[in-house]
Amino acid sequence: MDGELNGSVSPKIIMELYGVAGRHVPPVFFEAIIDTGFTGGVSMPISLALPLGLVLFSTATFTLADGSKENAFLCYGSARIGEREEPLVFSLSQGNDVLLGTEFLKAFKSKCFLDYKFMKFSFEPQDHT
Amino acid sequence: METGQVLTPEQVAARGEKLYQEKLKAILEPENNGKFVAIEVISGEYFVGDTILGAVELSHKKFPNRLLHTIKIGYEGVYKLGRFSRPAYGWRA
Repeated sequence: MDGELNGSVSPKIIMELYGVAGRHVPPVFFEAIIDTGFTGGVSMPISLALPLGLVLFSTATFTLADGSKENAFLCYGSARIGEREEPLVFSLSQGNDVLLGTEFLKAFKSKCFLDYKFMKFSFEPQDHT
Repeated sequence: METGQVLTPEQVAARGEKLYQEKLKAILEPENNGKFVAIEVISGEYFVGDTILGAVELSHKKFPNRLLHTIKIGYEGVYKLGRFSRPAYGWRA
């Protein structure tokens, strides 16, 4: 699938996210930034996360870029791209953006292609086999 | 019905980190480095998995309604946030 790179430093894709209650009707889509500096699955603003019905299951410590540490909440959720669905760990953030980290990329066995000359970005989930 | 001790998330995290540093670190490292441990902080029981979801799934078989504390074995934090990531909705460790 093609994502967005126009006028932006970070690549963005549109995807469906939901909690343990399953997909919403109609489905709820989010614009998400791929942030390879984040080693988790999905980082989501709490204001967006609560209506999705994400289930809180754990606290955990995160390491920040400056080496300091923060404690945060982890939740169960799922991400869907096309017909492909993967369970992921969601963390709640104070920011305004939905971020997708390297755990998300690994879950979808993703291949990403960034072309800053032509400002193009493509994201391709691959089979598990 | 769940009865007994009720801990705040801050208490869960603090107890989890303490249990890990004082007891589990010596047991789990370095053989399990890179795996995840989900700690049920009231009983002190812990569950190791290759992934967070794997460790938590094991713990929920015995403690289905408890808030856990999860640690990546051998690492400072479960996840790293990049320079442009916003702070987690939580509290300073």
